[in-house]
Amino acid sequence: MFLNRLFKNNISIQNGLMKSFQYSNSRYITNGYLYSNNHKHRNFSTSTTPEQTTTTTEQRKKELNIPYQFLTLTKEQWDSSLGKNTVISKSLADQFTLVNKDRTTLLRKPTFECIDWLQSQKERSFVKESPLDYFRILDGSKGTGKSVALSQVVFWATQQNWLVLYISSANHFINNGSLTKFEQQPLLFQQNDMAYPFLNDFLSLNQDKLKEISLKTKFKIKGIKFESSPEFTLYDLLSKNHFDSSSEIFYHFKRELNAVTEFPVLVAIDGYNYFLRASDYGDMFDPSSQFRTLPVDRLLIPSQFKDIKNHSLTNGVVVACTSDEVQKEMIPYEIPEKGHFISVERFSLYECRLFISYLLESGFLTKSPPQESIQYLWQMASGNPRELWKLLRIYN
Amino acid sequence: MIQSVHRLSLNYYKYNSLISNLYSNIGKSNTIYNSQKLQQYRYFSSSSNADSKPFETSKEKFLNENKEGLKYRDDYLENFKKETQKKAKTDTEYKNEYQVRSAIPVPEQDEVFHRPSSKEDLANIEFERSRPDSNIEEVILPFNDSSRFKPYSPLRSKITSTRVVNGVALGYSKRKRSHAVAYIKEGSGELLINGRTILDYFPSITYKDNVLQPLVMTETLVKWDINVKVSGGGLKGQSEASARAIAIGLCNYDLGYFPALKITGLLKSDSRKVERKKPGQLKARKKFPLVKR
Repeated sequence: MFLNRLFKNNISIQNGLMKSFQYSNSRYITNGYLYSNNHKHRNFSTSTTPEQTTTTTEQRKKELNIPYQFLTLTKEQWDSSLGKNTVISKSLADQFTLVNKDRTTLLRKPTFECIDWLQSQKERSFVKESPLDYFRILDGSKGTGKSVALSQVVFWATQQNWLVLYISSANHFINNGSLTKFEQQPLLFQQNDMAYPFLNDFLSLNQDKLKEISLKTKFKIKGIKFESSPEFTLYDLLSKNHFDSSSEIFYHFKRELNAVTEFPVLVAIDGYNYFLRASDYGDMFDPSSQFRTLPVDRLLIPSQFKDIKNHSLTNGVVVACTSDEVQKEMIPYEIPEKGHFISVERFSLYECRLFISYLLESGFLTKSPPQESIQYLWQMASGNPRELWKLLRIYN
Repeated sequence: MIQSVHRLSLNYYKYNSLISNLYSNIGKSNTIYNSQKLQQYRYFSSSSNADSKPFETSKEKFLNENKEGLKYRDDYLENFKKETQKKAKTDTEYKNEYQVRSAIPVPEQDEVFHRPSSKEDLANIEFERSRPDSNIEEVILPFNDSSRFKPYSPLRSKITSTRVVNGVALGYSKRKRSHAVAYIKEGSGELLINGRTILDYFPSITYKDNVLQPLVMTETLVKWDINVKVSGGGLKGQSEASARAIAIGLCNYDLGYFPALKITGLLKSDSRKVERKKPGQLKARKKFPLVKR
């Protein structure tokens, strides 16, 4: 098992992982030890005997001393670490607003699994010997919490002083704004409506880090009259952001990002499915073409993030997750190896119980439901967190 | 008309005891006469012997008592035999006691007495031994026990034995046009319908709830790994068919779940189907609109 392996071999890493989560005002419900082999909460086959329906405070405290933890962030912390204009699913947004003003998420196994891999890559200084060293994909069925896990990983990386480029929704990244002609290469189109605000947000987030990164490539941008030199930094480039030449800046920014050595780089993509199918646009110069026929390779900015197999980040790595808004048919053809995938499974009964106990503490649920009704809700939702949240809204 | 055999037979023995007391001494008139003579004789003899001494042995006592009365040797021997050698009655002596009867028929001649005993008689005897005060019913209900209605016999279930093969029990049921088979084994609460979860298979809450009802009633929501295969019909028919299939599968696994499922009515088979369309009508019941002129 993954957790046991961590516990036996790399205790120091494990403590380092969790210390990295500590934030100035972020609070944790649990304290003390993180993992232990003494837990037997996963053996449901022995739970035939009727359990106690009433839960005292002491029992609740016992239940919360567990390997799983809740990560709570305020809205301001979220904005400062992940970004203001991040896209969240509707049910998760409801949960954040209705339950508590702070944004809490359950830290689960795939986040630790992903962080462990990132940590190991950083220790190896991102030497890529095999195709498995390039990227990881969080995959799972609908509503299991893939994008939540990705956001937790991104938050961990920002606290760990990584340079993170977080694409919170690939749909919003690709199918956004109007297309304009790119004169340097007539086959490609540029999207200034998307690129201009995106770069501004990125600059506001990573202002201090970008000042330390010097430019390493040769390029020239006519619109803003900018020539690269090692004296300039990335901050100088992005601070001269202009709407008409924003996508051109983005292109060179990505080329600079590949050559960064000052910081470890993480590119996080939410909804990698959208890169493997045609975008919502048609070819501008071909009047016979229809909508939803133009491939992502023809778009200037998204085409740079498509090849995660052979990405050219020297000091970095890619983590992506899939989305169930569109079909995932092309993924097994593109990425046949299973080593790339980190499966995000449904809630176990114990995690379901934890989620409900959190809702009780926050005050969203007035009564503590008995064990039988928790089992019923878990079975009704078939362990799906999103569906369980919908049922609990009705239950309350 | 013979109302009840065993009762008559018992009464017969009661009467017989009375009869034996009445008529026992009829054949023995001579003996009584002799005994009266002896008592008179003894009375006079005892008055003569005023000074009587206690005797040590029983033999001396006997001789002194019957000193003068026992003139003959035969009398002495008979009395001696009566005291010493008490024989059991022979069959002939026993029968001779009843030979006197004339008004009431002799038991040998009685039809009831010689009637061969049937199973019913033995059953009645055992019944009376177990419950001696229950003969009142027979007066009220003059029937044989074979034709009597037995209200206390319990209704037997269709499922009488468990069927578990390699730890897997099976249940099958139908509803409307759909057929369902449920395979049940012990596990950790996985539920699949045609290889999919109920979340994927059934869109609305009511269909999911239908499937989970037998697990809720038996309080085993997390105990089983269930794999259901459904075919035909719509979603409602499939959900209800799979629910009953799971219920029957649980009974096949363990009959302890039977009463809870029986009371809640989850083992009922619903044999209703779509009513057919009739000729001369629009639908099964709907008529053509009536047109005057």
